[in-house]
Parts: sequence; C-alpha cells; structure tokens
Amino acid sequence: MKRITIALAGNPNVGKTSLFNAITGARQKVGNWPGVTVEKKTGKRVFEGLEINVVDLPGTYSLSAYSIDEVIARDFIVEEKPDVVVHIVDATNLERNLYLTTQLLELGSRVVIALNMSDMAEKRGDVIDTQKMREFFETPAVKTVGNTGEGVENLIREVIKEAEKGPHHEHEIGYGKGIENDITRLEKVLEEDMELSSRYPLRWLAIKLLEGDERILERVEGSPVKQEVGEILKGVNTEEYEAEIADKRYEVVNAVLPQVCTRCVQRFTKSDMIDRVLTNKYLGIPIFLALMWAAFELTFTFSTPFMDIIDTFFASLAEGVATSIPGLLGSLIGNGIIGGVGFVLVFIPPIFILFLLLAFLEDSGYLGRAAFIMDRIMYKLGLHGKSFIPMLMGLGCNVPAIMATRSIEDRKDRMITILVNPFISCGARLPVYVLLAGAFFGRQAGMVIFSMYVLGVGVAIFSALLLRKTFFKGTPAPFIMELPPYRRPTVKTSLLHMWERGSMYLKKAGTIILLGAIIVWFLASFPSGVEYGSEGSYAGMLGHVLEPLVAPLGFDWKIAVALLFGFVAKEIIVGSMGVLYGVGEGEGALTDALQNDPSLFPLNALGLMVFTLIYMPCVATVGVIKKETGSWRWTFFAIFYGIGLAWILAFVIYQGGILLGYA
Amino acid sequence: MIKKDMDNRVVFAAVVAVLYLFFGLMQIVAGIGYESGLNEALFVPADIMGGFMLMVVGFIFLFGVKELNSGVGEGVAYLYVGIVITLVLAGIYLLIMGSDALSAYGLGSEDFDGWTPLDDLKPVIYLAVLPFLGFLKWRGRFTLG
Amino acid sequence: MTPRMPLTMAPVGKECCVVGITAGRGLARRLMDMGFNENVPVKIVRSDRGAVIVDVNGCKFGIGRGMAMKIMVEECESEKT
Repeated sequence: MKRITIALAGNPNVGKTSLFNAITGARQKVGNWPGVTVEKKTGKRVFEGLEINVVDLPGTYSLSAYSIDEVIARDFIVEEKPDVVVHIVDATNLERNLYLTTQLLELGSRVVIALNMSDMAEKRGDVIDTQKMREFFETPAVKTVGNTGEGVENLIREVIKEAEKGPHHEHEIGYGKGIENDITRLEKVLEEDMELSSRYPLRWLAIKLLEGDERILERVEGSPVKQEVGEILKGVNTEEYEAEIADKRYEVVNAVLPQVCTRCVQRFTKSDMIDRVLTNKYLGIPIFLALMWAAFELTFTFSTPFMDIIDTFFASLAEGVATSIPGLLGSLIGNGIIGGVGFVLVFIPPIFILFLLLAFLEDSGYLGRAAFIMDRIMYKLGLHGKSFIPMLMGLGCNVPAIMATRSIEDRKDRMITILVNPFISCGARLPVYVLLAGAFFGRQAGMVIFSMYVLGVGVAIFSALLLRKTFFKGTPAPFIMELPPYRRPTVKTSLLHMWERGSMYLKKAGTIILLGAIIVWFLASFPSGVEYGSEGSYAGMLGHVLEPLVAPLGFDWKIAVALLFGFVAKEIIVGSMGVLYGVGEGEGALTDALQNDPSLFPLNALGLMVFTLIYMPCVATVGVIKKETGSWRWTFFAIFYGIGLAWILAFVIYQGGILLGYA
Repeated sequence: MIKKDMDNRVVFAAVVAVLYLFFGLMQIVAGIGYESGLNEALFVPADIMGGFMLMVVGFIFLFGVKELNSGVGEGVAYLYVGIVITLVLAGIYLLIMGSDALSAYGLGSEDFDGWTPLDDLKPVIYLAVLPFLGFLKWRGRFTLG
Repeated sequence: MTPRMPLTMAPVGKECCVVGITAGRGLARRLMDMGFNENVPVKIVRSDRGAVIVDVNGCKFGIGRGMAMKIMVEECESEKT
C-alpha cells in the first residue's frame, strides 16, 4: 500500500485534537517526542487504498525557537519532511492564525489549510472565500468542523492531491529592501555549505539567522561557512529585524484578510457577556467555589449506587472463587487478586465522574477563566495561575494531574507544581478516610473527611511557599493565557477527555495495584501453614520490624504493614488492613474489627488519616514525577519530604492529643 | 430595548435575588445549629456550603439588579448567567436525587431504608422554577441593550 | 486618553493600540506571536486590579498583572495605509 505522512500544525485551541480524532478515528498512539516530555500523537488512516500516517504536532503560535513546542513542530517539518502539512486554522480568528501560515509556507512544505470551526464562523456571519485563499496562499483551503467530522473527507482528498504534487514549494514574502539584501548575502554564503543547503531551504535559513534564531545559530556554529555568516550578522541588529519581519508578516496577513473574508468583524459576543459575570471581581471566585461544591456533591452521591454494585459484585466473586478453587490458588485468585483489585475498581465511578465534570468545565472554556481568576491568589502563593488546573485534577488522581503540568512553561513554576501535587488528596486516599472516619467519628465523619482535603491543600500551599523560598527562588512567570470563546461542550469530546485521564487510573489499577495485591497476598499467606494475615506471616513479621518507627505515632504493626503496602498504591491500605485483621473486604466487618481493636481510637485514627494523606506518593505517582521532572534527585525529595512531613504531623497529633487528654 | 421589558426584568431579578439570599441564609444558619419548624416545612436542610451556594446565586442576581437599575444595559448578563447557573445547580441536585433513588429502590441498599424522593428535595431545586420561567419567557432575547 | 500607559491602566471598553513591550526577548517574542504587535488594536474587556482580559482581533486573552504592566499602549492612530 502506498503511504504518505502528514503533520497537523496550528495554534493551540483551534480544535486540532478533534480534527486529529476525526481523521484517524480510534487508530492513534500516544508517545513522547524523543528527549523531551512533550506528548507525541500519531495515528493512521486508510483512505481509498492509501495509507496516511498522521502526526499531531504541538500547538504553537509561531515557529521560532523560544519554546520546546515550537522547536519540535519546526524540526519535524524541516527534518522529517512530511508529504503535507495540514495547517489547522480557527476560522473564527483568521488574522492571528494566518500568522503561522506565513511561516509554514516559508518552510517550503506543501500545505493544506483546514478552516476549522467553520460552523461557528458562519454563525457569526463571516463568509470565507476558500477559492481566494487558495489564490493568495497558493495552497488549498478546506472548510471543516472538527467536532462533527464535517469536511474531513474533502480535507483528506485535498491532502492527497497536494501530496502528489511532489516536494518543495516555497512561498515568498518580501521583507523590504534592507532585509532582502541581507537575505541574499546570507543565501550566497550558506550555499557553500553542502550539508546545510541540502537540508534546509536557504532563504528560510537566512531569515532565521537574521531573526537571531538560537537553534539555527547553533547549527551554523558547526558549519564551515561560520566565519562569513558571522561577518554578515555582525552588522545586523537581530532584535530590530525580528520585529520588522514579524511586522511584515502581519502586513501580509492584513492585506489578504479582507479579500478572503467578508464580515470578519469583531463583535461584542455572548462570551463577553458571560465573562462579565464569571470573571467579576467579587463574584468570580465564589461562583467557582459554588460550582465546585455542587460538582463534588454530585460526584460522590452519583457514584454511590454504582460503587455498591461493583463492590458487591467483586466481593461475592472473590468469595465464590476462594471457596470453589481449593487451596492456595483459590486463595490467591480469590482473596489476593480479585479482592485486592476489585476493591480498587470500586473507586472507578467517582474518579471518572470527577474527570468527566472537569472535562465539561474545560471544554466549555470555563477552566481557562478559572485559572485566570485564581492567578492572583496563586501568585501570592508563589504559583502560576496555570498550576491551578493540575491541582484540581489531583483530586481525582495525581498521575494525570502531574502530566497536565506540561502546559506550564516556566520550569520553576512547573517543578513546584509537580512537587506539591501529591499533597492534594487523590481518590485513592478516600477509602482510608471513609473507613477510619466512618469507624471512629460517626456523625462527624463527613466533616473529618472534608478537613483532610482542606489539610491537603494547606500542606500543598505551605510546601509551595517553602520551595519558593529555598530551592526555587523567584517569582512565578507572568500569566498570559488565551481564553477561547465559551462553547457548548459536546458529550462526545468530554467523554473522550474523561477517558484520556481516567484510563491512566485504570492502567495503574491493572498493573501496579494488581502486582501490589499479589505481593500483599503472598506476604500474608507465607510461611505456609500460617493463618492468612496473622502475626506469623511474613507480613506480620515485617510489621513488627517497622513497629518501633511508628509507635510514637500511636500505630501498631498492622498499620505499619498497611502503610508499607500503601506505597504501592494507597488504595491497598484498606485492603491490607482487611487482610491483617482477618476479615474480608466487607466494609462492615472491617469497621467492626477496627472499632473492637483496643489500640485504635479516634486520636490515632486521625493521625493515620493525616499520615496517609501526606506520606510519600504512590509508586505510580513517583514514576510520573520522575518522568516529568527527569530528575532522580527531586523524585527522592518528593518521597522523603512526604514521609518526613507526614511523620511529624502524625506525631504532633498523637502526642499532642495525649497531652491534651484526648486518648 | 423596550423600557417595560427592562423593568420586568429588574423586578424579576430582584425577586429571585431575595429568594435565594433568604433561603441561603436559612441553610447556613441551620447548619450552624439554629433550626426552626419552618425549615422542615420548606425542606431546608442544614447545610452551610449549600447555603453558600444559594447566596452566591442571590448575589449574582443582585448585581444584575444594581446594574440594570443604573441603566447599564449589559446588566442582563447577570440574569442570563444567573439563570443558567440556577438551572445547572437544580439539575445537579435532581441527578443526586435520582441516584439516591437508584440506591434506594433499585438496589434496596440498607442505608436507604425508608428513603423517599422528598428527602432530597431542597430549595436549590424548587427555587429554580422561577428562573426557569424567566428562561422560557426571555429565551431568545438576551442580546445587548 | 493620555499617551503611553501600561495595559493595566488602560480604560475598559475603549480600543487602544500596542506601542511597545518592555519585556525580555523571549516574552516579547511570545507576545508578538500571539498577536500583540505594534499598532494592533487591543480592546480591554475587563480590568481588575491590574489583571486584564483583552480582545485582540476577536481573540480573547487573560493577562496577569505582571505581564500587563509590560505592555504599553496608547490611543490608536486613526488611519493606517
């Protein structure tokens, strides 16, 4: 089968993702660009016997060398030379989008313009003449609606037609006499370097050098013509040139725009009206809090019936298996695997619902406003407004939350956000709170659980301030974020987003927790002949070894073991306790067992909850931290800081409580 | 924008504002511990955060009243957003009622013995009737005045 | 409208034009790429203790206080060729 490769480029927020999905259907793969933590999405589409490889480039406003995203996009186009670059343009915002078009054309790639969101443009009364666009830019333009898939087939057809035209088609913008002169001089010199001139369009190289593009300058450093290039550049004020070149590009865009689009006027939109209220000085934050509260209430009550269903299902399944398959194997599969993992799966409903609601907020455009509103407060806490969103996501699961920090540009801001994220109480810790608060705090249980969340936020803030003062001195990067117009989120896209994040939790469950559950089972069942989960088992022995470390916190060996297993995944803590107390997963039984244990009472239960909240992040999170920070040093820091802080707080609570007479 | 229409809206907004503020306050007060027979009759739960939610809505409409009264046409934005928010909140709590119903009737879960839908009826749900009527009446006409 | 002021002080609702960016190269470049070029009309949608939401050619941006202080604007020249 013949095959072509196309790349999708465009500004952020233009609906690139939905168009990518529309083109590739479900056939896509997510990975990383080599050497960096930026996500790389690739997919395939077979169209009329032709195999099309689709690469989704990071969204960028331009192709300079200032951010990793831009470099990746640019390098891919220049080095890998895809057959066609599909430039996805927001039809409701042509002017700004076309700026990138000019740069793509200069790169000499074959471009097809996809006028995405053309449905919204039409609703606004904008009329875009695709024929004229084709004339002016010498590339085809196709109207598309990413959300519905409209126009995608046309787009693919145009792409195929364009691909067949063969490589290299350079489009020129005149930059004025002075700059053009220098371009010519540079071109002449660069021609001498065989390697450079065979890889890159000369004119593009010249322009980049005149703009002072760092990466290109680096390239030229290793070139034989370095001297001459340096000479020419010496007399050039690159900053001035950069501005002039950008100006010229906008000039071109502005000249073309009125001829290509009639009625592309800006009007006071509904979005502005809505923003008036939602970003109101006084109302903004309260509205956000109110919505958040309602969302949480919904998440937890709505998931209850489903959780019950899953719970009973797995409990009886575990039971059934354990009794029907004899001996060790039965116990392994029944108690160990099904019991352990099933318990975790019970928490799918709240996590997924939370992510779904977050997806709605995100897709409607509200989350951007929320980040903007919170920026002021975040700034005072030494954080960036954009850090807000990962922290929200941390309430579901820290793993996707930390991955979401990629959108934070400033390194220090990002590091701090990553390092404090584990303190945001994630879904995995909830079972521990529910169990302990339910057993020891009766009617106050709800309040106690809520205060855990508040404490988590508090510790995160405290740690952020601490990190700011010590390792990451400085102030948060300035905040500028595009606020796309409000739009009605489609159920389909939101479900997709929910799935993207929720599936990480599932992967964690399927792999790490499964492994952890097996390990727990193993340690609890051996040495052979020992009663499952009793003091004589390896688990018990391990517990006794650790006991002295946690005794000052009021914990006994059973808790020590449970916490140790909790390192694998915090959901396992409850399961382990069930094993160690010799009762099944049944909530009631475990609650009774805990209440009957003389060494457990409200005070150290509270300490335990706090400890669980704060001590090191689970293995999955540790893995993500290492991946996103790229540093073992900070990963270890996260672990030990967490344990240390947790120990201190639990100690204070326990000993302090005793002093105050609470035990 | 016809003056009469504007006046209607101001009155509407004012009424909604007062209602939500009042009930919100009741819920907060109940949450702190002061309940009265009135609470039961009106299905007002003792719920501080819920009360806060209602009061926020009340304030949204209040801002709308303030702006419209001083002739700022854009004040309708507060009504528009306010109505949407009241409907969203009512919807959420109706969903909550529904899922509790599922737990009670569908699953016969023991925590829900003797539960009836009325247990989950709250001001946030029934107060939304008024904004809903407003929504129906003025639906197409939220343009800038 | 008095000449040359940072975005944080510009009046709401009125259109003004960018005349300069007092920021480091990277930042300035980024702003330019996003459309904040010289003489580009910028309309302030909301202004609140320094943080602003602006409309640049139909595109809305939220800009924090620190950033907004670095964007200098003034009344637009009436006609451009």
